[in-house]
Amino acid sequence: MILEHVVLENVRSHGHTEIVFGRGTTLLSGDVGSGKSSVLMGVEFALFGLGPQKAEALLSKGSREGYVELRFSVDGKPYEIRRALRRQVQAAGASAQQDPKGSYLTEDGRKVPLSTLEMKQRILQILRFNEPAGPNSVSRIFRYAVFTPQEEMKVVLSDAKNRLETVRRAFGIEDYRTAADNARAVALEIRQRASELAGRASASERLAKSVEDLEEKVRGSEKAREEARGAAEAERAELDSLAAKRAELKSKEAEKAALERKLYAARSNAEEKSKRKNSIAAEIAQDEKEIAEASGQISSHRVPEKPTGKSLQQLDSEIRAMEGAQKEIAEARARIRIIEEEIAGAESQMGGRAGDSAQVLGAESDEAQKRAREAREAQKKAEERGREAGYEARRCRDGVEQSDRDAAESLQEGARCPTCENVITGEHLQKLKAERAEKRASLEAGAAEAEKAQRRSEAEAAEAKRKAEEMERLGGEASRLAELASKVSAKTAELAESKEAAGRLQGGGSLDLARELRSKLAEHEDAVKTRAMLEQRLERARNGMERRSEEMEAVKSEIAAAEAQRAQASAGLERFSGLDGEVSAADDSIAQSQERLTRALSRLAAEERGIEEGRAALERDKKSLAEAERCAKERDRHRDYETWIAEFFVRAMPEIEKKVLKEMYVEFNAAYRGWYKKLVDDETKRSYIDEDFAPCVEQDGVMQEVAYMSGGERTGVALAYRLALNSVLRKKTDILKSSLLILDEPTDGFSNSQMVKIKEMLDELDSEQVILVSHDPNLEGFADRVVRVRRDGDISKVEG
Amino acid sequence: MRFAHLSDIHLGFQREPALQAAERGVFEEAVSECISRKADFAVMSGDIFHVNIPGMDVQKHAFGQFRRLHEAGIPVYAVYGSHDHSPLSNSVIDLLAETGYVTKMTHEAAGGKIRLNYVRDPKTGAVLAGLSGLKAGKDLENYRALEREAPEGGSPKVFIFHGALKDMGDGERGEQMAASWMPRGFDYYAGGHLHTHREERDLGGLPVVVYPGTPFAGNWRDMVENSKAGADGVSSTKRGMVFAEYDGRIATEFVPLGSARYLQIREYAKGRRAESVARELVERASAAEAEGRIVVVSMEGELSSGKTSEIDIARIRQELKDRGAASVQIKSSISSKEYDIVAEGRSREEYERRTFEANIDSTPVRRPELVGERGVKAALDLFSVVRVPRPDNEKRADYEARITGQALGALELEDDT
Repeated sequence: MILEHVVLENVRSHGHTEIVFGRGTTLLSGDVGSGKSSVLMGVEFALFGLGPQKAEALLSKGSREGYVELRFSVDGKPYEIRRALRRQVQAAGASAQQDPKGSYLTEDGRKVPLSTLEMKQRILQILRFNEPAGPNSVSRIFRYAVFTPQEEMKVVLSDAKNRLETVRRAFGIEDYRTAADNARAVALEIRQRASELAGRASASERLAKSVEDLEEKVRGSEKAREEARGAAEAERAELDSLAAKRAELKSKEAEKAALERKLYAARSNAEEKSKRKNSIAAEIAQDEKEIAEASGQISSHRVPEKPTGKSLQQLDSEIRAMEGAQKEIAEARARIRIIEEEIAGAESQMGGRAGDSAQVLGAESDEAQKRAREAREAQKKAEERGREAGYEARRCRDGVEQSDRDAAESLQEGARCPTCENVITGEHLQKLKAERAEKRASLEAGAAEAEKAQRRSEAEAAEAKRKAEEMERLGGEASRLAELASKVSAKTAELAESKEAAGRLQGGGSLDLARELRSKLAEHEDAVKTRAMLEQRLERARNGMERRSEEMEAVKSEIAAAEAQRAQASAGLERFSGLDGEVSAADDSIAQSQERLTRALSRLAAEERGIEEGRAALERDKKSLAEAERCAKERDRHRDYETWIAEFFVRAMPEIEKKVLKEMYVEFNAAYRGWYKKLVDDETKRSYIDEDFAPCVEQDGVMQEVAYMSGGERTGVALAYRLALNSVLRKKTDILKSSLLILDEPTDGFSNSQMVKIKEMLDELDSEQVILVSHDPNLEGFADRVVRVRRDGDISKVEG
Repeated sequence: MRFAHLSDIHLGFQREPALQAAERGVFEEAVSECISRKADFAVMSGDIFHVNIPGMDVQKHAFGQFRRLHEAGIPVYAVYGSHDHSPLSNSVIDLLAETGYVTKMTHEAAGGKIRLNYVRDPKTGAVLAGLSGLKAGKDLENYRALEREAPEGGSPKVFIFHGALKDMGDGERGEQMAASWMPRGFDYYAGGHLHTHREERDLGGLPVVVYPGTPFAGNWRDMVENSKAGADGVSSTKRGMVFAEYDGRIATEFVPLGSARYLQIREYAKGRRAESVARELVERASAAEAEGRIVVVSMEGELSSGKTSEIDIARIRQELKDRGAASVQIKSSISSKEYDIVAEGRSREEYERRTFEANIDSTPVRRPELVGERGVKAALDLFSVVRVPRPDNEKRADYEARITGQALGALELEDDT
């Protein structure tokens, strides 16, 4: 991990602080309490959330909101994380909390929507820290290997439990214990399954016996089925022979039935024909009566003479024409009356001029309108003249007014002449005044004359207007009269036409005569038709009687034939007198045989069913047996797996753990001793790590108790321990690949000569990024970059 | 006339209260001896303090004692030792010199030569000079440049120095000096740096060379040494100070100091299992006559198996404290054969696979999918499932059901009921 950039907004003493971290060594320098460590707390908060910290302690006093924004990269891949804090003011008081809304993680340029706890889990994954991500836990690996806060740095020496657990976690040693525990649980589960499988396998013996029994039973059933099948077949043969005999009887029965049908048909035919014979005789008598009646009517029938050569149609069309002409005459007369009234009306409207033609009146109208136009023209011209004269009068009056105004001002001696711009003298003044008076009089006269001309023109215009209006009225009147005159002449022509038409219609023949002639002709034609009908009736009756006499002969011979057939059939039936008894006996035999066959078949079906059921049971039991045998195999397999896990896998775990731990220990101890020696240059002192990863310090061979070590000694041990952990983790594991190391007051308690060691240490570390935090200005010379933090009142400020 | 000679007091070395009290008590006793024995002056041959600037409580106590000497009219002449000197910074000795409680021995460096500044004790007329001890063998340069001719007049002549003379032949570690480097013409060579009392006469032309040694303990080896004691707890190592009488010639007297009682428990671990050593130590601790004693537990040897950390140091300490021990120190030079290994540099994955491979055929199961290569693969598959820890937000029952289900799936033991 490499830190790139951090922003602290309202975090502890920081109002707004931005720090860009580069590669190499960055020193956060400043006095105690200036806010250096707050920057580191902010970084840790951004990565892992609050942990056991209180938001209240992190958010600046009196701020409602704050946040830390951190850009960092892991293996060159950039990430950005932001965690926000918010103080909510409630009735119970203000309380600060993490604000999940303002918090996010950006990965691959996208904001990943995660809860604050998920963000922590994700960060641990990104950093490959094999640690649980509880909401209240700090990242121990980060705390020990990357950054330990100042006050916790020396805890490494005394907190054996956390130290060992951290080392185990950091090196992944805890995995083996976890794996062993889980593997035991897996073995237990396998054992439970094996015992379940054993239960299922135990049924196999019973099932084998059952299979044997079922096979025996099926074989017995098959034998019984064969017997039932034989009996049924024999019975079926018997039934077949009975059926053949019955079939023979059936053909005799058919023969007998045919004869009976024949007898019946012949008898009913004879009866029917006799009935027919009687009905024909009655019909013949009717025919004779009809002939006599028709002959009598014909002889008494009279036909009148034909009155005209015309047909009925001709007469009808003549009558219709005469009726139409009479209607038209009536209509023409009514129209004539209306026209006459209209003419009289128009003439009365024309009054005295009723005699004048439309032409004369039209010419008068045109003349009047022409004069009206001339008068309008004259009016317009007079008005124009009036206006001109008005303008002229106005102009003259304006001139007079101007002259009066000019006279009122400026014309005095010594002033400048408005015309020639010379100084006005007495003489000049008189002359000017005279000129003015003359000009004014002339304008006054002009005005009067123009006003007179205006009035004259206005009178002329009024006269022309009156004359124009008179002429327009006269023109309109003449035009109206011309219209009425032309209407009178049109109606007069129309009247003549109507009168002529009425006269023309009056000229046709007599309608009553035509109607009488038609009636007589109709009477004649009816008589002719009646005569023809009577003759036809007589003809029909004669033909019918002839036909029925012939039919009577045919019926008589048919009756004789039917009687002969009946006699023949009766004789034939004598042969079949015993047939019914034979049929009844045969049917009884067949019914009995069928009953026997049914019984045999049902026995066969019962055996078949038995076999089927037996086989299904057998199949079922065979399947169960196979399943039980499979379970037995599975049980054995499970037992093997259980043994394998318990005796091989679980036992291998502590062995691996021991080897790995030893390897780690050796590396760790070597690294630690190296760092210690570099930091504490004292031949009498020796420090090493025991097998439980506890740091031990000896002086002259005597072990030093932590409680009695000086601050500088403790700093040396803690720093060496952390550097060793950091370097071994980098070497041995995936985590901390790119190496960031944060050292908070690493020289606390160091002597001046030890300070020099820090420079050597930094060179030795060869970390891509080191962040030093110190109040000791001596370290400034060792850093590639110095960021100075100072306190300005309550607010931390950052420079550099 | 009589003068006292002290060195390597190492005030401030002890941090544990009981030992701190003992350390201070011994110094107070030494001061009392100076006063009661009416010493004319005292010389201190370096390492009065454990560091150049000790803690304030240490300074406060020390100043009180130096004031006692001052008020008793006993001047103190001193040099820096390797511990309480700093070439870069001040030393508490400078404060004592400023107040007048201590007179520092100084020298001049000019023209590549070092000339000692002689001080005449006003009351006795004794002449004193000295050269401070330096760290990391830097003394050599000073002594090489030293003008060695004897001072004129006054007696006795006392040279105060801090450094081991190899002619004393006690195998002290670090750089050593030769008697021939010493300036000539002094009657008494007051040495410091060696922590055990030594006295030589006529050593390479030096009439009397005395190291009083540390009066209590200047390092942990001293303490282990102290703990070699009889049943009464009295250390067989004598610690104290020296009084010198001058009457034309030097006569010395070693005065033991301190009343601490000791107990040493030695445990030999060679070839034994860690667990057995651990048990025995606890038993011994819980039965020890530790009342009021400074106890040193010393362990050595290579364990045949187990971890050295199985020996519960904290428990042993507690047992001894419970038995009334004033202080418990542990000296451990045990190791374990089992952990005497070099890192193989293998990854965890390799260890996992190798362990499975080594054990796969040790089960009675002979199923082909559970033995040989297939068996190892099955074990690795199973491991990848069951190693996953329970996330905090998953209930235990859900987690177990999930992991078991996945494990059975990995082993192809799906539930067929």
